[in-house]
Amino acid sequence: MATQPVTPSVASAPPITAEGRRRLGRGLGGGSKGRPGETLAAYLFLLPYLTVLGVFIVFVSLYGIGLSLFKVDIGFSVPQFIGTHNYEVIFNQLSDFANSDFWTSMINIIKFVVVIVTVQTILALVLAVLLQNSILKNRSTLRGMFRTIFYIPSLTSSVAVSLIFLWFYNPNGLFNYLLSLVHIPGPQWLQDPNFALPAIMILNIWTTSAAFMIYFMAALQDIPKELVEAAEVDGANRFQSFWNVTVPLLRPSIFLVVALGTIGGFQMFDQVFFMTQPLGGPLNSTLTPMVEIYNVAFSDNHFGLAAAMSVILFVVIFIVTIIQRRFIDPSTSQ
Amino acid sequence: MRRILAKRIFVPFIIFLMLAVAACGSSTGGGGNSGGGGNAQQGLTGGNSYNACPSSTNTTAASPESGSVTLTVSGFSSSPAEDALVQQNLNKFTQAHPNIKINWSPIPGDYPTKMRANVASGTVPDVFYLTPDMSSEYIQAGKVLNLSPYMQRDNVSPNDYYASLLSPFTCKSGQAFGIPKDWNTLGVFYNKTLFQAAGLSAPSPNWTWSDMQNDAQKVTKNPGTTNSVYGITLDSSTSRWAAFLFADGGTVLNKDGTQAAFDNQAGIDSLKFYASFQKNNTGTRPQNVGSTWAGDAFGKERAAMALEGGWLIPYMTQTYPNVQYGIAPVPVAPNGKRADLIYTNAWAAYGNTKHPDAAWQLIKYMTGSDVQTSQLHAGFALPTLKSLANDSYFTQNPGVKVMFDAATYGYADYYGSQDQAIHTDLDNAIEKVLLNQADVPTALQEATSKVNNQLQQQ
Repeated sequence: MATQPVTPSVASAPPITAEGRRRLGRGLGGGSKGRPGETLAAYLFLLPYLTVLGVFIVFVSLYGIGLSLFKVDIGFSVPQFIGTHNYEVIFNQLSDFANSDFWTSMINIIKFVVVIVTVQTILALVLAVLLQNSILKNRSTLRGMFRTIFYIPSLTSSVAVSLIFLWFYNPNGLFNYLLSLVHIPGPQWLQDPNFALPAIMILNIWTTSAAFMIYFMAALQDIPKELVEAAEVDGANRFQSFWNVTVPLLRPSIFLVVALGTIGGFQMFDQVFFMTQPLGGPLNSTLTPMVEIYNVAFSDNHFGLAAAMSVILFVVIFIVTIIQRRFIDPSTSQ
Repeated sequence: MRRILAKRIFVPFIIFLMLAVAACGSSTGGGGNSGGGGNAQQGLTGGNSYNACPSSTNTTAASPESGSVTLTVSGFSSSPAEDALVQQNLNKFTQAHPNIKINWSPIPGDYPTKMRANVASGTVPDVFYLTPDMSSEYIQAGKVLNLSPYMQRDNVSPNDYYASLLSPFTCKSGQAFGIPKDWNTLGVFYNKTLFQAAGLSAPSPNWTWSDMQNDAQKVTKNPGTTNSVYGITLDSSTSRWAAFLFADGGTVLNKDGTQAAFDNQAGIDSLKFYASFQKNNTGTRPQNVGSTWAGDAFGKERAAMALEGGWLIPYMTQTYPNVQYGIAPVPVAPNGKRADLIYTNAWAAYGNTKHPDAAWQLIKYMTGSDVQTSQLHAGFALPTLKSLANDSYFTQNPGVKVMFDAATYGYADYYGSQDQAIHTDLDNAIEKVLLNQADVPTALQEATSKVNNQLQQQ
């Protein structure tokens, strides 16, 4: 699969990565053209990263897939090979869908991902365009200031953010106080099965939007001014030029943001872990696959079953990402 | 242990630290389900049919070692004060046994998970706290030392301890693998001022379910408003409701622990009773009055009664010192029976410890009357020894005595190897009923199928 953008001027964000990748491709594949020492040097430079990647990602992933074929309760009894039994257990639960924690968690996470990816992508794009093209256009200090303010949530540790939002969502907390000022009785956020998941969505959107805003800003800076000017000359208004020129040129970035958001969303764990009691409650309304995997592994001590769930989650994320690629950025999926 | 408690009850963990002050703040409590098993080869107790015995275990007591020995000892600490008391008692032990050195390293945070990692890596402390939800797994895999031979050798009779406290740490054939270190149970905390204002006298020792409903009715004021005072506040927790289930003649699992057994008349009646307060607007979930757990709603005087354990006593002293309250026993069911729930933890030794006799000596001391008395007098938890039933502390603290008496009629809040999952499934059933998302029979039916799935999966 080619990873290089079709239009060279519109680098997929962040531009440095794409550039780096191009150079890297030459270095590694250029054995015939360049000197052999160059290839060796490239691998030498890569060695530290490849070691870490191999040990902590590739090995662990394969180990996890292997683990899913065993009945394992680390330390208590001898692991037992049971073939695909763990997968059968999970898929048999499909017949009793409502009573299955794993499938409930899948439904929850799909709702979660759809909402947060949509909202945070749009929000990130809007923020980026505002910072780029609004009245701040020629005031770089002010722009830098706003950029920093927007970006701070992404830098804060998610534990700290979760704890702060725990106070905000308290029935007597900030959000309900603000709502009471406009005479709206606030819900019990995290204690109400209907509001707990949306509450965590809001928190998630708040923390991640700004990170993706940076991606869009980088991509926006790469859009050739001539194209926008040409559109203006042709009589396009600001919205038309945004919709018909800017957005199409941002496609690779949009795909990147949507894909990263989806992958991150599917793996959501920490906020639920810190903010809900019981874990994934109330009534399993915030149970995510990662939390369920944690429960199955560490509370129930079924590490094999948990590994099987992780594999299924991986497959789901993989398929969803491929589909997104087809739809959002068809040019790169040849 | 902490995590489990927090999971069970809606207690954000800051509040939870307060709650756990009660030393044995474990919501996955102790014994009482001593059925089956019976004819043991060498069992000392009635046995616990929920715990399978290990395929091989020590059957004799090791002899004392000569020379100096160092024991690693682990547990969890609910508060600095409790930790200090444990250290003090450990020091007394080393003074009496100069050849045994103790290396006390309490585990902060998620105790069962950390211990699991220790088991996986083979670095288990010689002596450690065994919680009921750990016991089934540890006993079956032979990870804990069989203490029965030592008890026989040193004439420590299992009858010195209340059966319901010892049974979670015994297996089917009756061998004991842990000795309860302390315990806690539930009482009905009632607000004296609110009761008086409503013209009510204190609950009598033999009060009934309907007395409780009537009192709740009379003391409730302005329900549904911002200055409401409810009769009682109840969490969506198995570790509360099951007290009424057992009183009504019900049970959570069948005798050999293989199937859910709460979907029957006793289950339906007791859950209907539990939810009746909310339905009649005479009771509330703590969340509805802006509290994170029932004890807090009680302290804020938004509810005149709360069904809580000994941990509420230090919490009230520290956070709401001006609230006048008394403690009544859990009311009697229509069939005339009373029940309560028992939460306990044990001292146990690692199955492969290099110093089994020294480990036993420590366990014997820490569960003996010296340490038990010191814990009672410090107000942390109730003693496990029957011999302390007439301790002077109880005459000064009649409320604590009311709870201590539950040792004779209490049931373990412990349901075998799937204990945690069963608690979660039942908590959800209760929550659905309290939130009006399901009627009682439907909720119990759903929970039954979930629990049975868990039991088959293991």
